[in-house]
Amino acid sequence: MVEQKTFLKWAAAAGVLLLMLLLPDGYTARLKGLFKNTLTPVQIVFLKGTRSLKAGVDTMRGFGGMAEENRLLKGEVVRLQAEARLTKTIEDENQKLRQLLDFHDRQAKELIPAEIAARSINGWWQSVRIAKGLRDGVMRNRAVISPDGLVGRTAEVSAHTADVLLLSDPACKVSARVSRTGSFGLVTGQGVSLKGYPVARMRFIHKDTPIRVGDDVVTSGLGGVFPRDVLIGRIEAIRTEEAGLFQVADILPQAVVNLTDVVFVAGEGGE
Amino acid sequence: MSGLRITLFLLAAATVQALLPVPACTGSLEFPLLTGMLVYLALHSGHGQMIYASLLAGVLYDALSPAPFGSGLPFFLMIGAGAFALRDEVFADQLITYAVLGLMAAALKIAYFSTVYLVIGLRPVSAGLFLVRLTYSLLLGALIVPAVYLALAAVQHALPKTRRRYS
Repeated sequence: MVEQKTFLKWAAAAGVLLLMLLLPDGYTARLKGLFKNTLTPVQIVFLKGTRSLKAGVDTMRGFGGMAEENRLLKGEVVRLQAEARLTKTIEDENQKLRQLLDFHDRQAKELIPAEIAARSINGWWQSVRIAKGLRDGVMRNRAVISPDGLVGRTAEVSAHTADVLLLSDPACKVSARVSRTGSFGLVTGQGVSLKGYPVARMRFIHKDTPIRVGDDVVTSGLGGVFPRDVLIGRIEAIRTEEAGLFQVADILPQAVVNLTDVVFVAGEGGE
Repeated sequence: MSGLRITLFLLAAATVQALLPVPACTGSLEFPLLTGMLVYLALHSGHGQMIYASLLAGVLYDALSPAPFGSGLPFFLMIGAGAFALRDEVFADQLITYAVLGLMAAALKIAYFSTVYLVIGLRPVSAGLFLVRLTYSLLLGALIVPAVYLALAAVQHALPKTRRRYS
């Protein structure tokens, strides 16, 4: 009798496992969203408590108010950068539009500020969770930026939260351009080095293009997910691929290195 | 231990684990709070509760990460069942017991997730990274699991005891 009960319990566990593995994507996303939406408010309370504690300590040290001011200024910098990019893009695009009537505008027009609520519970993934979701206009596959440049893209989005896949995650791929030379390539995340720096790599740069260490790498705007001309990072090292056809550049993703507690999600302009 | 208490303990562990920073020098390993919690629960619960705790820990782990749903659940079932099977052999409810169980759980965790992610093709796993992760995972397992035991034992001691009434 006891053995039969034990067997039934394990059979139920196996059933749950099978159900989880075979569940269609839509249901999986809803189930994940349920857990995230439940836990995120608690995590935000935790984080706010920690930040208040830190602000209190800073105040005692004589830096009171600077943290809040710094946060506001960072937000302002992002908005101004976006405006400057937009203006430049509009100028360029106006000329092109005269030649190309079916031009598609990919520039982000609206930036949704979002607070980072948590990171991935699983250390194998380079991701953070923000406390904004579908209800706030955040959609899947939207660019996430900070004052230092591109942070990553939104992956799983629930009603009140969204997972942001960081630029350093191997699943994050961005069509990019070396700012000085204009040569295109594909930036892929390479995880975090043991020294603690996130690493990204730009591949498929033409072998004859004279790129240099220190060159800025920006988004190309191709592909429709990321707005154009957002800083990805600086080239740290260059080498040629084994076949000798392309150059490969290691990039330090600046925005991931200096990831703050507030980021901005591109609300419009993606696919 | 009641189902509600198990649920609350696991939710708290998952919440805190997702907030703690991931040290890069360890190969970006998370602090194994959920694993430590499950080891404790498996040693202090009945058979049905152990299975429930393992399922909930697995679901929470998968739900709060971008990994495919269900990929982490078998690991937590193995940990729960393993700790439960060993509990008659466990000599005493002491720190050293949890340190040894933490070491075993950490080794299994790295082996399991490296294999699964490599087979599915989700994460690149190099030999160097595997060794770094294994080393630090053993260290974290041996330190964090006993720490979780101490914290839970203190919480359990502070919480009111449920008494059975006999007629």
